Amino acid sequence: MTEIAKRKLINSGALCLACFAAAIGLFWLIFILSDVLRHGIAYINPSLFCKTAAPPGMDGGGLKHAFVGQLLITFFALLIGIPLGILGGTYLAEYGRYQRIGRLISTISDIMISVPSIVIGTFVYAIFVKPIGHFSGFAGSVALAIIMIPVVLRTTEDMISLVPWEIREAAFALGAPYYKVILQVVYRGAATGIFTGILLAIARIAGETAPLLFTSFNNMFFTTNMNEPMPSLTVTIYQYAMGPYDDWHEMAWAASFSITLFILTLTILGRLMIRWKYKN
Amino acid sequence: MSDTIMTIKNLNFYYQGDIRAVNNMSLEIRRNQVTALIGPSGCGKTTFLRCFNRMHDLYPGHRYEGEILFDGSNLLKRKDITELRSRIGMVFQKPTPFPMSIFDNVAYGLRLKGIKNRAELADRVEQALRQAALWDEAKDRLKQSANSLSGGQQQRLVIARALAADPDVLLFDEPTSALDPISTSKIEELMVKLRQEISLIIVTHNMQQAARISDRTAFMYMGELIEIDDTNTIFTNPKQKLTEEYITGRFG
Amino acid sequence: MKKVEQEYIQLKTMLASMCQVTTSMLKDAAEALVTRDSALADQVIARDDEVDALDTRIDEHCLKMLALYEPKAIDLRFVVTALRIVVDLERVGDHCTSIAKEVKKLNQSAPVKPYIDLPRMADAAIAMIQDVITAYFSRNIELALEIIGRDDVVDEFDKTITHELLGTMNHDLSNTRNIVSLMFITRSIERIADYATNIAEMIYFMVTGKVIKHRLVESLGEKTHDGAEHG
Repeated sequence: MTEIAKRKLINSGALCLACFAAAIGLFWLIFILSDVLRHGIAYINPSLFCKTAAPPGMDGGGLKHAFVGQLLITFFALLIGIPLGILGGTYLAEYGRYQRIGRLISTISDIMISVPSIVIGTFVYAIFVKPIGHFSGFAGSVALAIIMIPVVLRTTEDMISLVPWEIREAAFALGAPYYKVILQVVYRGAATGIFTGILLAIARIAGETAPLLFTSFNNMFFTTNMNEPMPSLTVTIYQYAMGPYDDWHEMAWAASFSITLFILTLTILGRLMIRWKYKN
Repeated sequence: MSDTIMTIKNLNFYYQGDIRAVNNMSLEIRRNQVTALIGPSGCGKTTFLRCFNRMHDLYPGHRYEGEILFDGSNLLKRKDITELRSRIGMVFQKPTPFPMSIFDNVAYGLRLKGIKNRAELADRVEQALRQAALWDEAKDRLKQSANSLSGGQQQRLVIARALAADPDVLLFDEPTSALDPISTSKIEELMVKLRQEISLIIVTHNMQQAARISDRTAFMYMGELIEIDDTNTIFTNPKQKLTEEYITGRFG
Repeated sequence: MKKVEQEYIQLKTMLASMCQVTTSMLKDAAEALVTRDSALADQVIARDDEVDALDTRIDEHCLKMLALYEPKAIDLRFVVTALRIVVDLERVGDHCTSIAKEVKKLNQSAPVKPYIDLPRMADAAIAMIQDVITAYFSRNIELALEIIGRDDVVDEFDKTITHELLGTMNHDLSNTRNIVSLMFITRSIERIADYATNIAEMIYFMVTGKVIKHRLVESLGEKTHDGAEHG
């Protein structure tokens, strides 16, 4: 066989293997998504969003408490996480760019992104739940915030670093003080990137269950008091899926579908924004 | 009115670590003229230029010695840098429009000074864009992002932005080295025209550009001023041998 | 307008001045000869300083333009041609001065003989100078080539007149000084016509970029038309 023919053969062989591997990955993705879709969409109905849980064993009931709880916990998590993340990222990119402590914080952030979320949950349990004595929605928010902060921080740091140094110099040359340069010029330039980072961070924490297990725990009843254990969609899915009742299973599917749809939408939106921004 | 706008006396500049980059320079900048600074790479001309608007203050460890007399006082000792930078503007090598609309870009310096009146802003933005020969191309797109302009237009926008603050002096740090020949030619034309209103100092590694547009040319080497004279004299009959060697391309 | 455009306009203006001064010196010298007007001859001699001053100024200006503006193509040929033309124009001025000086000497005694061919020769030379200046500013190479051809006419006059004067000198030894003056004048006019030819050759070079200095006009193949910017 000629050299060329041999190489072509190896090329085709490798290509086939690669396609095969991709197909396997895609297969599971499509399988899971379609399964969730199939099961979940059947059970989506208005009562799911309007009614709170019925006592175990009784029919009817919805997941309103879980949806609302999830929203509240996420909202407060954002309230804590976004400012801290952005400010931290700004510090790293602007002031700590060449300092050792800046590099250290950046590296630790990178590590924290990969910390198992249950570890964070137990950590917050130790500092927030045990001393107080009871589970609370706040604790859940804190846990989610801790997961979220490194993501937002690193994205912000990267996006701000992308704004070229010359633009800052040009603003200085016009007489602007440093804080105005950051607020009016740098943030404007990095805005889309930072926003996308936030979207992706939200998508990340929207599906977290483990950290909520030890912090906000769960609640069968509708409540908006953050100082009490709060119901959350993710934990509820866990509870209902493991439970004995059929309608619980159905609702779990529906909730899974909702969360999946939500995360999928956010992620796709984030990707589209990045593409749109860098096309210009 | 005297025809000298700035007098530099025994200027020395040290980077962090006491590294001297500007060595005892003394010269005069004349009003309503283009003064060019030429010299081989690393001769300190950009460092020298950045002393005028105190850009070195952004970086730690620097030290100025000597005087730059502007408007009756030594600007190296001035406290109000914001005011100084609105009187002495700077245009850099890379066109740097801010990520905002064209209007907001030009108005940025004005808003920094505290001007909020919309009518006044609109007026002064238009005036600045006209001075920078960009009004006709920009007047219908003032609200569009500045990034939609071409490279040459962006550089003129940067010039308009600096002009809006009504400066006395404009500093140019190799303003056309990132541009194509036609944009370069337009900007050179603009600079020659601007002489009537302001004084310009340009650092360029392109000798021919200095020859084309400047009235006086200063040749720097290793942080020192070797010679400064009328451009015609520098390029037809320089007094220093070093200058002649540089001009004829024998080094650098 | 660009800065460099103004420099070109300034150069052209100075060149036009120099051409105008030289032409009127030549005309005045010819007239002074024919009408025996010593006062007019003095005027011609006085104007030579003007020509020299313009020569220096144009020289410096061209040097400045070459150094500062790096002209290319047609602009380069224009500036280089200007440098060479002013040399020839300055010499034309010098020859006019010589003619004037000889006229003054001639006027100190009675006329030698009626002038017939000499004024015609002078007119031919004047026409050549005037036409070559026109050709320069209008960049007309056909006219330039035609002027080169006319040099033969003036050379003919030169031969005829010189021959005649030599003949007269043989008969009339008392008038030697005046005849010699007339011969100098003839020679000067012939040289002026040569300079006109030189300038015409340079015009051809400026417009087409081809050098025709040492070639016969007949050996030129085709005439070219060039649209160009300065000159």
